[in-house]
Formats: sequence, structure tokens, C-alpha cells
Amino acid sequence: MKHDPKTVDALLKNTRPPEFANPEHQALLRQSLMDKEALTRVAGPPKENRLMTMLNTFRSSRLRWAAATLVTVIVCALIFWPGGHGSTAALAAALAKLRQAQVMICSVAIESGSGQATRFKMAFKVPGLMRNEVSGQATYIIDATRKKSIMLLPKEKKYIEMPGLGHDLLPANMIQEMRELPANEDCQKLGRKVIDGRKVDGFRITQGPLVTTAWVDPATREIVRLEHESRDSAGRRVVMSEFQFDPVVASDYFSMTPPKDFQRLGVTADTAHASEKDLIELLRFAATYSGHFPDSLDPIGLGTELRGIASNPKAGLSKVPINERLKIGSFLQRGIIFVAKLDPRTDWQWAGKGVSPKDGSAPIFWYKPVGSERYRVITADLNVKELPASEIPALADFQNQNVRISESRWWLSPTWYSDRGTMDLFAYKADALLKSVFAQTGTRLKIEAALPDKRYDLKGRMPKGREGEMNTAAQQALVKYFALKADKETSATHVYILTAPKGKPDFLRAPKKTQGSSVDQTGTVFGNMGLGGITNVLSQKLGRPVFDETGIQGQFDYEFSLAEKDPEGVIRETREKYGLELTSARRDLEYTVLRNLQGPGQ
Amino acid sequence: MGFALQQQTKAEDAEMAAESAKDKPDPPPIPAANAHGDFASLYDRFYPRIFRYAMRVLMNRTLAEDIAGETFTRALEHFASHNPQTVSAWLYRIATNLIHDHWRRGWRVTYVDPTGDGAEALLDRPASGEGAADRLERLERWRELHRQISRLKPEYRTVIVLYYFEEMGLSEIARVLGVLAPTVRWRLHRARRRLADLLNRPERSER
Repeated sequence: MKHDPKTVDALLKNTRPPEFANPEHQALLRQSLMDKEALTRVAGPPKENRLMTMLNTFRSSRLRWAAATLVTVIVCALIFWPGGHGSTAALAAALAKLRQAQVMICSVAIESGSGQATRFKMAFKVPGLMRNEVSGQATYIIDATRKKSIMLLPKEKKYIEMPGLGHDLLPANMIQEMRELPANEDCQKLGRKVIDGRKVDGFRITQGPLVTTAWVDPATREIVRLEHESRDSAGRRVVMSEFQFDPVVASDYFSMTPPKDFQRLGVTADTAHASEKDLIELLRFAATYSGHFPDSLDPIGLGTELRGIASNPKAGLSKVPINERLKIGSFLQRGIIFVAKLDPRTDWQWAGKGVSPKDGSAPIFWYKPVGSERYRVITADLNVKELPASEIPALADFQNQNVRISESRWWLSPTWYSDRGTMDLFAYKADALLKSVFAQTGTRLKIEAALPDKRYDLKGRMPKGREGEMNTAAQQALVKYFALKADKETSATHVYILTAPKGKPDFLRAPKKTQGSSVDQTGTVFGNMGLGGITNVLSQKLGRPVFDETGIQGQFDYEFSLAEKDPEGVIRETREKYGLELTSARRDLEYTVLRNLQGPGQ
Repeated sequence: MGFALQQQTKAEDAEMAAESAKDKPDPPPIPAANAHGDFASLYDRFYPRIFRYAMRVLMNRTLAEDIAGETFTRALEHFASHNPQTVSAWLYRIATNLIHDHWRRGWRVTYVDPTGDGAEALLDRPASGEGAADRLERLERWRELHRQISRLKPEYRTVIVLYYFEEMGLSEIARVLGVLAPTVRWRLHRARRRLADLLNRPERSER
């Protein structure tokens, strides 16, 4: 049957489309939205739509803080008992479920990325109690409401009082925060899979350097697994699973009172006042024992790295008296807490990856204290200086730590966001990544380098006032990351010249009053645009650069649809339909040629 | 050549004029009290339509759920300031923008539904008295037609679905898409022509 618009009209009218319905999703979404609506009502009417933004920031920050708290606990325990990790901690209390969760217990595994994992049990109780059992050797309890912490050492039958640690970091309503994670509108949906025999849906939240993946049972709306990792964690991550909501626990499960037969160790770890000085001491510790500064300052990455340093026999911490270990542990905790608590408004940056103290005055960390106009900059020799914003290194956000090998998921599409000085490319192959970033500045690119056959993410942000440098910074970062060299070369190139021998073509109409910049994905439909749009389309169709020499100025609404794909057909259609002429020519064009620094394959 | 083009344009104009004359009436406005007062009732009323629309355009359960969820999340954020007289077009417009965003971001790769082939059949409500065989045949016919529709450019896809399957009039579609009604009529006309081409030459794609 030969179709024409009338038969198509009849076909469409006579087609009864499916009546799709999804009551299961409708009910789940309704519950989630009603929760949000209730929050909106409690908080009053939204002001300039900031409410949801605020809530999301709030929730994600809570998670980040929770992760920081978690890591400080682990660091603390491992500093005291280097090498004492490996076995699974015992589950402390009896279990039962209540309707309204006030207590949550879960298993936590800190995976090193090399197959090893440190496991322990963690428990929360509202309004602000937290308990950790680390490797069966130490139990750590925080009471945020009373600002008290205690560490129990069952083998030694001793305990240590630790004021300050994590009190203001511990989310009082951690349970609720975790259960509401999937409602976060910034979540990236990862699809469905089976964990421990349960069908779960995945959601990913990216907040700063911390990436949290939540796997949620859609039937019960309970979290089955939470995975925290940093963008540069190299496989290191914290995995929380085996969640129990409202189990029955022993009456002294969260008790701050040590057992009667426990002796108090005559030391006190003051971790209440985390400051820049603690971060400097932390950096000094890392550089002294490993020869370089940490790769990143996100809580998980940093905590895991410090753990590695502390458990290395070369560090010799096992021979250090417990009082000294306590001091070390204290400033490490405070250093982590200092970074974890830094307000996003401080615009803090870490640039110390791969840097050693020998690099002298190289800036490794800077932040702008809230209310200050100047940045405080820590240099590789661990001195601090204050600098105006104009002297802060521009490329720091695009240094190597922000280009990482992607965990590309087959069901996700490559994406590109570039707005107001931020950039986020996801799951690009190396050549496509380079082409995309260089195309942003109109650079003609030739890639003559051997590149890895992997997919990459690129994420970055430029400080205020230097947003315009983003693309250049990203280009330089990629060149450095892939160990390339970029040479400017000029070569004679076959091009087409677009002219209008008959004057302004009929299809160019006067622009509409309304904004009409609508470009569809094929780049063939334009509104309120100049002839540059046509040359772009023709370049794509012809596979050669096209230069507009029509002399036609102004903005126009037009549809430019080229059905033919062969160059001759494109040239013919351009001439016959639009009265524009394409003439082949050779022009000297400048290219940026990317080659391997050490030659392909080396 | 010029004469032929002129003839063709006249025929198109006549066809479009006929289209305009048989335009569907606008739906009655939502009563203000109902639309403004209760987000839950708005959700209950429109979720099935928005999800169905997303499914009909995308034919992918996961994506349709995402679109519906995001549509109502955004609707909730702006609920206090929306115009209750145009609530339907407002929600469809959010959903359409999200669908177009998805296409803009994801056009380079083919989306594969992790729930597997034929999963949409699970979401289809059978008509009363419809047998299983009839239902499968109807879905198969739909899949084949949708396969061709999905090869149209996005602006044509959405206008086809909104006009023929969501049964909207030109003026309501214009409100959804934020364009003038003549533009909708023109796109509809072009969409039918392109779809006829695709049905005649199934191997050819617009993308």
C-alpha cells in the first residue's frame, strides 16, 4: 500500500493506542510527593523555588557528614590499633521491627579497592545516638544530644572518654534521611537489579566529591544498600547493607556508662575544635609517612588513605605509646572534620594530588572563610598565606583528579552540561571527550594519538569570575591527563564556500517577534539565527568545513532540511531549493593536533 | 521546478486549511478551587494521563516513570504559582520539555529498556471484552506504527502523539509546545508527510 498524508491521517485515527497505566509507580510516586508536599506546608510557601534546593542540599550534606563521621570513627580505631582489621563484627542486640523506625542497625564495609574490606556494625538511634563496633575490638558510642563520646576496649577492659568528636556532624535524624533518599529529586535513576534475592532500584546522588548510590526495595521503600564513594576513590568505597529498622536492642546498647569492671584510660581526646591547624597537621602526617599529600580531601577517600598509611608497618605506629597514638588520632579526626564541615560557600579546593612537600610554595589547598574577601592558601611547605581571588590558580578545578575513568552503565546516555562555569560530561570515550571539549572553543582538532578504549567522566567547576576559562582549562586538563601534546599546525584543507549568487533566498523570512531559537537534535531547524547555522549543517552533511561568504546579515527563521546525504546531492539541493551555491576550494586552516607525549603505544 | 513547487504549496495550504476547520475543541477549564487547592487531587487526575503520554512517546517504562515523576516533582515546586485554567497544558508542557531534554541528551545512543522486550504489554489496560489474542495483535500493530513514528524528528513525534492519541486540539497543543496554532498545524502536516515517506520506505530514518 502506497501511503500519503491522507492515508496516514486515516491510519492514525483508526489506531487505538494502548491505555498505559502503572498503578504501582503511581502509588509510590504519590507517597513520595505527598511527603514533599507536607514538608513544603510545614516550611511555608516556597520562596523562589528554593525550598527543594535547600532540602536537597540539606539531605546530601547530611549524608556527607554522616560519611565523615563514619570515617573519623574508623580512622580513630585504626590509629589506635593499626593492623587490627579484617573480621566481621558481631551483631550486638536482638532484633524486631516496629512500625516507626527509631533505631537503625546496618553492616558497613570499607572496601579498599584491592578486594580487602574492613567490616563493622553501625547503629543509630534518634535523636542523636550512634554506636560502632569495629572488628570486635572496640566499641565507639556517641551521644550528640549530651555531647559525649566514649570508646570501649573490651579486650583490655578499658575505656576512653572523647569529647567533641562528631557531635555536630552526627545527623540526628539519620534514619529518616536515609529512608527519604530516593525522594531526592537530584537522584539519577540507575535501573533495577537483584541484591540478595530482592529486586531493587538504584539511585545515585552526586554532591561535591561524594557519590552516594542507594539501592531501594520499591515494594517496602526500604534501603537495601548504600554505597558511598568519592570521585577519585579508585575503587575505595563504603558500603552499608543489612539494614534493620527498629530492632530491639539491649537497654545499654547506646549507654555512655562503661561496664563496672572497665578502667578509664587517663587520657582525653579533645576533638571538639577542629581548625585549619588540624588539617595542616593531618597533611604533615600524610606527607611524612607516605612522601606525598593525599589524593583528595573528601572524607571517604582521605579516611581510607590515612587508614592505609596508619596500618603500614613502616609507619611504626604500633610501637607508639597509646597516649601519642591518641594525639595523632585526634588531629587526624579534627582535620577530617574541618574539611567535612567547610561551608560550600568557602569555595574550597584541593590541588595536592601528587604534590610533595618538596614542591615548596605550590598551592595545595585554599578556601575563602565565610565573610572574608580573601582566600587562605596552604602551600606544599605547609605554610599559609592570604591571597585575593584574582591570584587563586585558575586551573585547579580541572586538574587530574577531576578526570576519572567512568563506571559507564549501558543504560545511561552520554550527557553534557555546561552552564555558568560548570561542566559535567559522563561516559564519553576518550576521543569523543576530547572532540567535545575542544569543539566548545571552535577548535579544529586532529587526533593522532593512541587513546585508551575506555569511557571517562569529566566534571569541573570554575571559580566565580573565571567561568569563561572553563573550556580552556578542561582542554589543558585532558591533554595532561592523557599525556598528550597539543601542537598548532596549518594545513591546506578542502572546504566549501557558500555564496548567494542570486541574492537573498526566498526561504529566509523576517524574524518573529518572539524568541525563536529552536534547534533540534539534527541541527536542521532554526529560528532567529544567522546563516552560521546553515554552514554548520552543511559542514556535517558534506564532511568538510563550509565558509559563509553570502554576505547575508541578520537573524532569520528558517527550516533547512537536506534529505540527501551524498555531497553531490547536498550541493544540488542547496542550489535548487535555496538558491545558494557551494563551491569547492582549498584553504589554509589551523588545526590543533594531539599526539602522545611519548609516541603511540608507549 | 518553480511551478511544481507552487502547485505543491497550494495543495498543502488547502490541506492545512481543512485541518484547521476540523480542529478539536479545547477541553473545559479545570475549576479553580479544585486545581489550586489540592495537589493530591491534581496528581490523581493527571498522573495516568502524563504517564500514558510519556509511554506512548517513549515506549519505555523506566523512562516514562522518570518523566512522570519529574513532571509532578516540578509541578509541586511551582504549584502555588500555576494558572489553574491551563493546568493540563502546563503539565503536558513540563513532560514534553523533559522528553525533549532526554532526546537532546541521549540521541547518540540507543536506549535499551532493562525490563526487556514487550514489557509495555504489562502496562496496557485491555479493553472490555478484548481477548488476549486481539490485545497482542493490537499491541503489535501499535509497536510497528510507533517504530515508524519514533523515527520522526522530535517535534513531529510529539505533535503526532498529542493530536492523534492524546486527542488534543491544535490550540491546546500550541499551549503545550509554546508555539502558535498555525505552527502546530504546519508541523502536523509535515509530520504526516514524513510519516508517509517512512511507511513507504521503512529503511529511511529522519535521525
